[in-house]
Amino acid sequence: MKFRVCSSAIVLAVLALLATGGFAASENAPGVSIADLMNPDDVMLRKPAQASAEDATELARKAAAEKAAAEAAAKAAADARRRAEEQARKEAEQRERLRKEAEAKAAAEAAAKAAAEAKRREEERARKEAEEKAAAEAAAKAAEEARQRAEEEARQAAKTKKLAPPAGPQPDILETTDAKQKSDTGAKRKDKKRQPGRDAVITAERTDYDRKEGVILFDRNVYVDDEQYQLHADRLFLFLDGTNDLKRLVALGNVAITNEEKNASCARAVYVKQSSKIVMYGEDGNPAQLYQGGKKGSTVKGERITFWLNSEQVEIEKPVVTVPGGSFRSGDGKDLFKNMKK
Amino acid sequence: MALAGLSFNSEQWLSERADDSDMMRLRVAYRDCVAKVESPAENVVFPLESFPDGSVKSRLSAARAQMFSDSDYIWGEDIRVEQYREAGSTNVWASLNAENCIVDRKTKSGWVEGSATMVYGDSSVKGRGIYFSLPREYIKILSKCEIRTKGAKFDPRSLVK
Repeated sequence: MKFRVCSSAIVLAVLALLATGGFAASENAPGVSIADLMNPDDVMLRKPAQASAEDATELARKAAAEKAAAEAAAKAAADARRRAEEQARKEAEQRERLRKEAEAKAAAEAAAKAAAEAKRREEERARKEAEEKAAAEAAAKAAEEARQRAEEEARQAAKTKKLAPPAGPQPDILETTDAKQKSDTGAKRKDKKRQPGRDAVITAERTDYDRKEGVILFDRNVYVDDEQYQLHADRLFLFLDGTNDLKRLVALGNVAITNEEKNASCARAVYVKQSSKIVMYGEDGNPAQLYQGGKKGSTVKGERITFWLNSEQVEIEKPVVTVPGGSFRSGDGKDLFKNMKK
Repeated sequence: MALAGLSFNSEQWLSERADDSDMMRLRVAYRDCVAKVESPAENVVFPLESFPDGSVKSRLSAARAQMFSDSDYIWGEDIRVEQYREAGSTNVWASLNAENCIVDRKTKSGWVEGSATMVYGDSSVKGRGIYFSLPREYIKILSKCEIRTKGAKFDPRSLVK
């Protein structure tokens, strides 16, 4: 019990010293107070239990602070990343939108260009069609006018001058092609006349074959080149029967028929197969004419000259016969009337 | 001029002949078809008529040909039509050669652009620019017409027989 009192007294004394600062006058720490020595931050001076709790708290606080800072940093980083991603996404969207707009614009421009091209082609096609149509109409009109003009010229020529002796094909009144070429053609024709068994050739500028009507028309500069004769006319009609056999042949306009010995000219000539005759017609005061024996030979003129091919007879209406001087004395003139009915 | 003594009315016939509207239509259509030709069939051959025993009576061949879906036209190039007189015969009796041709299946008429030559028997017909109409039974040669027939003496019947 006594010891317990003593101990308690010692503790109290120490506490008193501590309270009054008397310890500061000790020899071991001159000038330093006990308070200085009792720095609560000096863990070495603190009591172990108290320091551990404080350290733990501090550590916890620091850890919490560090955690909070880390969390804040992570959050900031996440925010930055998110913002960056958002920015990138927006930029990508912007680029995509611009690309689509550019594509749409290009497509629109291409469509507009294609439409313009189609329109241009359509206009070009319409223009060409109109030109073709106009050209075709003009050509048809010109051809018709030429035909009418040629007919008129033929009529006028028949009225104003006599038909020339058809020593060869009549001058072409419908065509104005090269005269030299015609001359060459004529020379070739003369050569061909002497070729036996050669082809018969009909040439014309235009031909119409109407099977329903049974008509073939050779039009403009018609030339029939046969081994036995040559025929030139402005037009040549062939009329056919139901079996396509020839019924009639009609030559119109500047008709000239020639062979080795005889020449004939008229405005119109008709061959009728059934009666086997050829009738030559004059027109407008210009009679049909028949020449024989060249320029110095005899000439027969008439309004109408008919040949019967089977009987070889000739019939002349309103005949005018011209024979060379002295023909009757030599008896040659008899031949002229030998086959004449009247 | 009406031909005296003939029942045939030449004036009427000539006035009808001058109606070239169908021919003009085909000429314009020909230009259009030529402009529209794309990937035509080549070396086309098909029969046109047959004998009762099934053998070919006539056939058409073309170096190039095309049918158009938006119209009734058939365009062909280097056309050749061959006709045989007897069944089973291999001898061509009549033939037609044309540079370019358009046929309207609806109206059964056609236009030959450029030159064409028809040969039948001993006779031949040449020309440039030929219009034909099967319903009208009409052929028109516009230029450079030449008809040639064999024989010592010309007989117009040989032209149409």
